Amino acid sequence: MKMSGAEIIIKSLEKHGIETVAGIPGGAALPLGTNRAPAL
Amino acid sequence: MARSTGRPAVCIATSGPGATNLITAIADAKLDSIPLVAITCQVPLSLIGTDAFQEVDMYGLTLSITKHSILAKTTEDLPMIINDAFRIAQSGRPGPVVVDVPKDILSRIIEIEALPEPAEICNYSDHSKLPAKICSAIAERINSAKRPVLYAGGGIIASSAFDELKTLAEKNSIPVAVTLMGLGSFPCDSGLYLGMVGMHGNHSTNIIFDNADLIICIGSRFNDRTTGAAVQFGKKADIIHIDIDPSEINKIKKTFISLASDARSAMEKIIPMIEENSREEWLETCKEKRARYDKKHHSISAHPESVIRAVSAAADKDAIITTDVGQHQMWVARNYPFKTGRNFLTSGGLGTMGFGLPAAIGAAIANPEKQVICFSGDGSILMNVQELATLADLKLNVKIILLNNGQLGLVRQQQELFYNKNYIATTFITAPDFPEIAKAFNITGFGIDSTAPNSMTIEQCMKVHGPVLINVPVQEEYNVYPMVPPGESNIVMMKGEETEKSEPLKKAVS
Repeated sequence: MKMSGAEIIIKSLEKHGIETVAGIPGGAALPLGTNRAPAL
Repeated sequence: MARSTGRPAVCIATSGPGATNLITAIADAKLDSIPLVAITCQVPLSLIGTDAFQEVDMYGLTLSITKHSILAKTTEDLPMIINDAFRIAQSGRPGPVVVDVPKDILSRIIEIEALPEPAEICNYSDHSKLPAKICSAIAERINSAKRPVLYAGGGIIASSAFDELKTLAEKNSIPVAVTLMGLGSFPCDSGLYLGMVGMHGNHSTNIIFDNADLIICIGSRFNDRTTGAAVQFGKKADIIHIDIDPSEINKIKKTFISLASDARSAMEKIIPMIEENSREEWLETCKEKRARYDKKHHSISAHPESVIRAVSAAADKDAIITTDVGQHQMWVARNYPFKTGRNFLTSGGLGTMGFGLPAAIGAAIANPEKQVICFSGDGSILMNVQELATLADLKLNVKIILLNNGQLGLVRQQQELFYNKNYIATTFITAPDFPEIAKAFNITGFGIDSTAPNSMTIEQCMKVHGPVLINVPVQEEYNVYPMVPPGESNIVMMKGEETEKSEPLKKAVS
């Protein structure tokens, strides 16, 4: 399957039982907020 | 979240200021051994080292405040890196791990077969592997002791060794003192419970430790707030030290016997070798010390100690308590009746003001069925007051009890006692109206005014549904007593007899 780095992180967190994260959004973190980030 | 569940929690921040805003929280998790995975985002790989917009070297910045820091350099590495981060955060002595991920690594799409299963955690929980000779030597020394005390820290909670600690203490009739991080590890209503030891511990407990011939330290690390002048601490006693982290052994105090193990496995192995003993004489001595040295509870209803007891009476039995840092924290630690572990969340090692409100939000998310009470001070809440917006958004069941003395009280107290009453930068000259601040965030705000005839009581305010802030005015002269002056031996305790004032509170807040 094809996955972005952001998707790998989010799916990996889910595998570790994480349901909620706290955070501070911003430019560099934008790819984490989309289902499939466009490649730079 | 991690403190209330014992499982790792995750925070994510953008690069630069987002990431540096996590630094205090990461250091806090390090000093209190809390499993945390902090994911920070980074400028694209090609820009690293160019002073790009919002670039800061998080890998370098966090090396000394984490168990491990990782900078991801390829997307292909991410599955393994996240697995490693969780494994390291939870294995052995828990702690924070930082994963710094450049933006292009996040965006790149790769072909991947499957994500790996979570890695196995190395938690040393197999007590059959512990050295038998050392364990039996520990049991023998406990059995032969005349005046033993148990000194229990956060390691009891980290390894969920509550039943084992109770069994060990009761089987051999050993009194149990706890540290700030150990509060809740032993039920406070047990006859063997001595409360806290150390700077703001019970005077009697410090005297009892001074008289002990054996101190059994489990899951703690002889922090200066616990030991006072370490040379004087337990000077008549042999010391047994059980800690999961071998680097803590013999760091502050030379031990008679030591064992690198998690608290639960160690006690599981040792308890069968412990003899039953009633220790009537030693327990009687401890009882006498308690009656002789410990002051009675305050009778003044507006004293913070009385307020905290009133809150505990009105609170759910399984409520989770968070605090900020300062006088209110010590008053809560000394006066709230903690019976079980993981219901007292406080910044122990780092002493981070601003901890209480976000910790309460995390605890409420992780424990939606429980009531969460955040004790804070006027100084502390201002350090993270913007989190009231998060609290309002999520409509969590958090009751904020704001003990408001218009001061940074614990610093003011030390200026009063040790720096010639030279009060610098500890007074809020323009006092904010906290109930109004709460209301501005769409949170119910109350001011307790004991002078007003129809003022609501704390109990009534706490019954209001959803997030509530209750401002409780506190006289600025109230200090936390007893207290060991910093650097002194624990038996040098200031008791600070306060004059009981009957006149109304100086400040009445609407």
